[in-house]
Amino acid sequence: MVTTDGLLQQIEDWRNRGVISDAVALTLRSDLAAGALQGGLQAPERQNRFSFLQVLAVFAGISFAAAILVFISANWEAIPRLVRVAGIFAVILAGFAGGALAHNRGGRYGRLVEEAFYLVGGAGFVGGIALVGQMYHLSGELADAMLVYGAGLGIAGLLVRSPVLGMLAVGALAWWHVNLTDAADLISLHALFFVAAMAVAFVAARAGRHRWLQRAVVVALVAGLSPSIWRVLEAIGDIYDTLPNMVQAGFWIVLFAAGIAMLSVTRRGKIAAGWVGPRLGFAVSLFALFGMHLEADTLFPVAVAGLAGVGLALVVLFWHGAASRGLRFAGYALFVAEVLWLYGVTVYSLLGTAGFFFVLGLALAGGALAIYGFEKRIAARNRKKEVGEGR
Amino acid sequence: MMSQALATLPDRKRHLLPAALLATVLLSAIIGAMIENRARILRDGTEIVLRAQPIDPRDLLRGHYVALAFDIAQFEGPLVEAFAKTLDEDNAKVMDVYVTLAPDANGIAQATGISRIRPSEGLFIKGQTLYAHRQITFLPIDFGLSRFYADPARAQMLEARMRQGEVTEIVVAVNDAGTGQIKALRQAGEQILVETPY
Repeated sequence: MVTTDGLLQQIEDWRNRGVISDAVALTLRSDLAAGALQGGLQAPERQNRFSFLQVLAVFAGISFAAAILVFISANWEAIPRLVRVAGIFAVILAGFAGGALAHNRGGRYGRLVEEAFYLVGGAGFVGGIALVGQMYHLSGELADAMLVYGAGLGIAGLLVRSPVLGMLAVGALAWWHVNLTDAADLISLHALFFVAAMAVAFVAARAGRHRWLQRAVVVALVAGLSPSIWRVLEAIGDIYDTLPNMVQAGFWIVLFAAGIAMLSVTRRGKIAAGWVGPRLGFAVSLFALFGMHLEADTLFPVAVAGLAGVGLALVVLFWHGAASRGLRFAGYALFVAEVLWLYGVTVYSLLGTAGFFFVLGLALAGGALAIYGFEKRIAARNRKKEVGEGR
Repeated sequence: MMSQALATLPDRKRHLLPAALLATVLLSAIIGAMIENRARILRDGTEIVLRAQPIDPRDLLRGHYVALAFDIAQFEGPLVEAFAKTLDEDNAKVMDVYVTLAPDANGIAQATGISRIRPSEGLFIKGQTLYAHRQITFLPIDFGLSRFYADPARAQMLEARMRQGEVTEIVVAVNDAGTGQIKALRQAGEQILVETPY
């Protein structure tokens, strides 16, 4: 395997021999560092080239996707159904064609922008199926549609090789399987299909070198095949329920604070604790956050639990996002989960929620553009400086 | 490994846009097929009228709906006894069933029989039961017609009128396979909503 270091030396060699100019050499080096050839190369500098712009691009995609789903759920009779269906087809087209174009355009931020587009296209598909259910008064539960969601998103994900769609697909299939009335029955056609689908997803993830998708497949497999885990959790919950309210609330707050403290002391430059420290801190605070959400409206107000969730996502991104890709994506995932949860508990004010996500999406996209311009100026200035020094 | 990765990059670049368009067509086709499947029942299905009672919830993705319970959704007595005798199963089982129907003097469809075998003629509707075995005396059947989606204001109006005791009837179109599709909603004889195929 050719290492990034080897390639960097080669670029330096080409520059010295006059094969390429200083500017071209600099661009190649920064592209390598930014992970433009994602998956094929592991650049040591790549992890440090994390940019807040990428966070905003992904958040904007998530917010737009949520806006589409809430819009469908609002059931606006003012807009004719066929227009809504056509709108859904347009969103799917815009998502997938936009993703392909973003990929072909390439560049430092191409990969995440591409995935954000696919996410919007996938949300269009999910919204479209929900719209059909609404149009024809289909009475199936959400879990019944998960098989269609999983299959559609999975095949689309394979076609455009999108790990994000792959993750959504395996998640949907796990949801579907776990909700079957005979989910525990392993010797059945549905279990065979589920395991086969997970196997295909895992092979595709390995072939594409998408490590996070590989992990997601494993998690989905375990989740889909383990309804009995819930029974164990219920037994633990019974013991917890016997505790007084103050003790319950105090337990979650102390645990959350302890997790945040662990995240703080393991920041880069403070303690060289490796990755175990911050990961453990994140796991502890995430568990506490989960408890706070379970107790939302009883021990904690919804706003407190929501703010704690968004706060934890930002803290993880600011403190550890640059150094750890794992924690960065965990931060994104937490943000998505928090948005979905807030969406769930505020669904009674549908139009207001749709408007909120739309404005949030616009604000994030605007912020992303501003930071992009800012970073571009800084990068140009640095490049000029480096080229000047090189000569 | 790197050379492989580099070799696939231009390839992917060339094929990605067609692949993305194929994904778009595929996902849109799934949605389109579902729409056409339902529209065909609305266009060509035989109409039956069912009497309904309300409940009120909402769905996270699809919004507000009026939950409907039908007079012919829960069975006991001679119809169930006759059906149970036709079953071999000792253990509870999920199964598709067909309910044969005949309109009463008011034009409301009433059940005349339950069978696992699809009737070759006459009026019937297909449903699913979560548990059936040969000792059953009570049989709930889900026809997939238990939700009527409406915008929040209309849903609340429908529910309020139902609670006031107004008779609610659902007109259902049924295709040759027995699949039912809600076509219209009437309250106190007034046509509230009629669905068009698209």
